[in-house]
Amino acid sequence: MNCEVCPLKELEVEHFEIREVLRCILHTIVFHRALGLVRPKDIDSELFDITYVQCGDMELEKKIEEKIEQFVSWVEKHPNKKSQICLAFYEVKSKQPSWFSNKIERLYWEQWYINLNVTRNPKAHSGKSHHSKVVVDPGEGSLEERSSCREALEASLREVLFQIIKFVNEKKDHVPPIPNLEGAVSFPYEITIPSSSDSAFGMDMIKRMLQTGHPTMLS
Amino acid sequence: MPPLSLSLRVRSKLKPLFEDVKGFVPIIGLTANMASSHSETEKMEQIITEFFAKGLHIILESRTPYVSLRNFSCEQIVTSLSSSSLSSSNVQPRDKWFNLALRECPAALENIDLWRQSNLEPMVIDVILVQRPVDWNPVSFSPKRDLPKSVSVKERYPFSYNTDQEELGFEANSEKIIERWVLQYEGRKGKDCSSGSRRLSKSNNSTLHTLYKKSTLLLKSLYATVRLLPAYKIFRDLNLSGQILAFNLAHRVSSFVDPFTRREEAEMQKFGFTPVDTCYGRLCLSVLYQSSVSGVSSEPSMPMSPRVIPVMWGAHWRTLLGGSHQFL
Repeated sequence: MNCEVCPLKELEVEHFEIREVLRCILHTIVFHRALGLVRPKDIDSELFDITYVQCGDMELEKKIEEKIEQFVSWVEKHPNKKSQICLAFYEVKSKQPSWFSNKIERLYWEQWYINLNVTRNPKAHSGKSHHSKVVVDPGEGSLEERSSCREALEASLREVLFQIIKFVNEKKDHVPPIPNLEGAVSFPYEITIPSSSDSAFGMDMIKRMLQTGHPTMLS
Repeated sequence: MPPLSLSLRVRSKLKPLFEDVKGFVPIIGLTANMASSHSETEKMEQIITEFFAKGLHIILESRTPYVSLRNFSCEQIVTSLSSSSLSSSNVQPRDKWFNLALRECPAALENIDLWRQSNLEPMVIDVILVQRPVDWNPVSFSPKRDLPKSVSVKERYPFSYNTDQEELGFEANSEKIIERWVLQYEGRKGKDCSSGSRRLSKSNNSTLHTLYKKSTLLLKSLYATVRLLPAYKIFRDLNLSGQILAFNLAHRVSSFVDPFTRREEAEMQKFGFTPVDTCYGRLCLSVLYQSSVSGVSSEPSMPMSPRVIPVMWGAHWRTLLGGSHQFL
């Protein structure tokens, strides 16, 4: 099976909204790909009138939070830029070790691209929003304007979540068979954020594209 | 691909599935040895039947407010809240179906019998918004009926869902269907799934694998979708509000309903899940829903701040964190 790619609709977000937007999207995608035994955890978003679903896997939550924080740090160094986060699922194929390489080959079967356009300078913000505390941006703009922007973002975020649901529904053939493994997370995954050098990020993307050229035999 | 192990006992259609939990082992995988002792058709039918059961469970557990749980025993409720981990002691056999462990929902178990007998009947789940009249006064309301109940409309109003509810203090209440879910298995006639070999082949196992996998994916997206639709907000408000509200949610599960009028249907939006094809037919799931339910909640659309809400069921106090909740 070839790799299925889903580029999600671009979202215009302010700095303080990044974490919550990414939590909604990443957890929704991963929930749909966690085909092991799951006791879902419903999360009411701190910023939006949206309830999304987590798998209830502590290790997974920790990894997602780490990646989100890394991304936030990158944004602070590259303000007012469009950015892309890639969540990819793959199968592991071990290659014959050689003099030059002992690497395990990853065959990607699905890639999700989360597109964000961060619009505000992060200087006005401080602290981290790890858990339930939210740093409210005291920034510019009238209350009505900000409320309108927030509503627009919420509507767009909801569209993105439905986009994920539609994609999951329409494309099922490429998903590997459910492995008989313990734990909620069935398939290995990776979350790629822009690195400090844009060219390095570009190289990562090209490398992944070359790898996904290999057809995957799925039963 | 790693081999998968099968644990399956096909049960008679005439026997309710959960009468004898001890003998029931849900599908968690497939091997050729076990599979050869049962027909592919029987296994496929069991997957489809359990799909209906799980689909009903997912929908009703997010549309049946907690206050209705007082109709059930304390033990059932405490059991459902007892632990957050997926230990072997708190995983029911039905949780293993499609690897989705949900909180207890007696309403779902009560309403599944017909589809355990025949999964060719469509399952229609109406979610009904019940609103008290404008001049309703909570002060004069009887203490025995001081919390709105989520009731099965079919049970209490067998002939019409617009019947007066005087016995509950509802007079001339307004009821409106805000969601209609339809789960259906559309069979195909004359289709033969056999591979031509009398021995159950690897390809037949693969067919069941694929059906189970795709059903699991579909149910995952159903779980996420029910939480994104407008009715979920009403459900959540009913659960989290410590006050008596002028509205409630009811439900009706049936195999036949009067279709909406054109005008009613025009007011609703439709979301259809991509059907899952099988050799003998396809599993279909769709919903018609009101995109906005006006006049129900006066709460502004603002972010919810986490708060601790004391909730009492029977003799047991539990707290719910207002920002997140895991149904156990």
